[in-house]
Amino acid sequence: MISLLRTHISVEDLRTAICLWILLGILLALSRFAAALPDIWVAGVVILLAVPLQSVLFWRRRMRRLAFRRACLKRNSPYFFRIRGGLWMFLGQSALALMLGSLLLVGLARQEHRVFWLLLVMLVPVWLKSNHFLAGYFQKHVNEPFHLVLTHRVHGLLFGLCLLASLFAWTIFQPVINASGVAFEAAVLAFTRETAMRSTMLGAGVDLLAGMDAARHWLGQNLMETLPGPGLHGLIWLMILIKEWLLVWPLLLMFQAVHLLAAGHWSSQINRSGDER
Amino acid sequence: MNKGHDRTKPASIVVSHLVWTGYLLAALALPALLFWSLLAPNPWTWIVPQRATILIDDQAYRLNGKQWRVALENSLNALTGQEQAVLAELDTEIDNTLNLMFKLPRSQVSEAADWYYSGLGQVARHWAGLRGMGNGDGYESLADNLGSRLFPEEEWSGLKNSMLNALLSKGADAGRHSLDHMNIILHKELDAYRIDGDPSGADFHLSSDWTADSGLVEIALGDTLPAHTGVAVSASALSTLAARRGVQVAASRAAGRGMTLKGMTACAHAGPLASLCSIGIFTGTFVITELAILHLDESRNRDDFEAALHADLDRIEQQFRITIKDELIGGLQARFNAERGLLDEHLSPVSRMFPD
Repeated sequence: MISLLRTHISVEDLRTAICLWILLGILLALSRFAAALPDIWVAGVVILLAVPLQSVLFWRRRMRRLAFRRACLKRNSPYFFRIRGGLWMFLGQSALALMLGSLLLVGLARQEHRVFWLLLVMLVPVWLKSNHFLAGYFQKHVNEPFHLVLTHRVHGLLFGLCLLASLFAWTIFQPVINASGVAFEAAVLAFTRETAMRSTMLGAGVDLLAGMDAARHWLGQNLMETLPGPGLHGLIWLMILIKEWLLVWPLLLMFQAVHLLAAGHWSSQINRSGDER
Repeated sequence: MNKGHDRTKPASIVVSHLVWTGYLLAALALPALLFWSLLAPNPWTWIVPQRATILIDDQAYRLNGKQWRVALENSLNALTGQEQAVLAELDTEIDNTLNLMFKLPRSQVSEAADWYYSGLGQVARHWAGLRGMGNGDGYESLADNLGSRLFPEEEWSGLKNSMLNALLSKGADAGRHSLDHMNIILHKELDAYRIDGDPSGADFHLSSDWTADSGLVEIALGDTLPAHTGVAVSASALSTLAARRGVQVAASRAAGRGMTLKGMTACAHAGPLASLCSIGIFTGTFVITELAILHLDESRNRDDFEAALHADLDRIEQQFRITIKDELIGGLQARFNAERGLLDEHLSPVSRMFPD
């Protein structure tokens, strides 16, 4: 019986699933306690979140640079090794990782509905299986150094689109707060007043997203009759998409980082990526 | 060699199966735990006690149930201590005020005794004695007279009112500030859980405007104090003194009468002026006798009389003390008890927010 099950579910898959669920547990706890964190703790958490994000971003950037080097430069050229990506690329990706870490923490602090988290928990096996499927497919069609990064890029994109569509649909069907007949400033103040963060930095980020919510509600309820319908609809949907993407993007990167670590690709491929001469 | 290899193969398979099973169980337990934490109400409270944000005077505090209960208990204990200290201080203040108040009548005792043993006083005593023979109430007016001398109307009223008003306002102040003091103590106890930033959106708003709801206990001392200080000087003491004096002076009166008879007998030889002589002798011996009796009475009984007056003043002061303490301290205690009810009304919703 166990042997039969083991043919379908490998130890690596189980290990990866466990790591992803542990990640979700940590993010859920962060979401619960973010409001009570002081500034110094928020800075520490952002740095911790940025570490795995920076690793994935740096790896992907390096692989992209490797593809460019292979396509455009000769192997015996000294520039083939020099422009592989070093300190500046590291610093650039670190800055991006810090920004994404902040976005992730702000998104967690908004305390998404539990349906979002239930969906994520249930999608972990789907994530694994779809990743395996894509990996098998790309292994047949993509060159060796690039098939892993391409698998994860495409997988992340497809998964992200599905997650985004779910969040978008969920947001559309949420009860609408009445902002009609109210001045824009008052609407923004009313939305931002609902948040109570101990950290000023986190509070500022949450207020910004709350302001975006207020803006789309106010636009939809006050200008729908005067401005062209499709244009305004498009603007409101775009605002929803941007707001949700700001959470989904760093979340997917974090998933990929943990997946790569749990599946053992870190030491075998990522650490040495792009260093070939 | 193949045999040895074959023997270890099943063992490694078992180990790998065990490892895989362990991973599988963890992979089943983790999502179950996550589902439970998402679907169960307040799942985090068994790790981290539920915290809530409360606002007191626009200052937000974030704390759990245990912290709130400890802070509240400490505040109430401190308030009780402060209230007891206030009541003890007021008790001492009342004693000191009464000592000061009664310095006036005590200083008047000598003057009152001077009047009592004067001619006018003698007349008043005789009149009281005559009235007392009929209905026994004759000494009431004498006591009134003495009372008005011990407690001069204007001076006593002014002193009494000013001192009692001072006590009343002190009591009212103590009552008014006790809730403010509770507010300060509560802020101090909760200081460790203070959070900065915009406190709006807090879970619970606690109005600190407690004093608006509390009513001042009306303490009206004027009606309950012994107002008839005139009769406070006991009439019975005076009649007792009069009776004792009567016994003491009986012999003197008898001697006086003897002198009068002798004088009047001597006037029998005065011829037509005998009646005038007799009247003169009678009046003269009467006045002399009464003056002698007055001096004798004063020399023998003045100390006792003054002691009786002091004893009466002590009794009146004690009556004042009991009445004022009952009204003021009792009223203040009742106010403190009423404020506890008010505090409970304001603060119990916060306690109910936290599960036990």
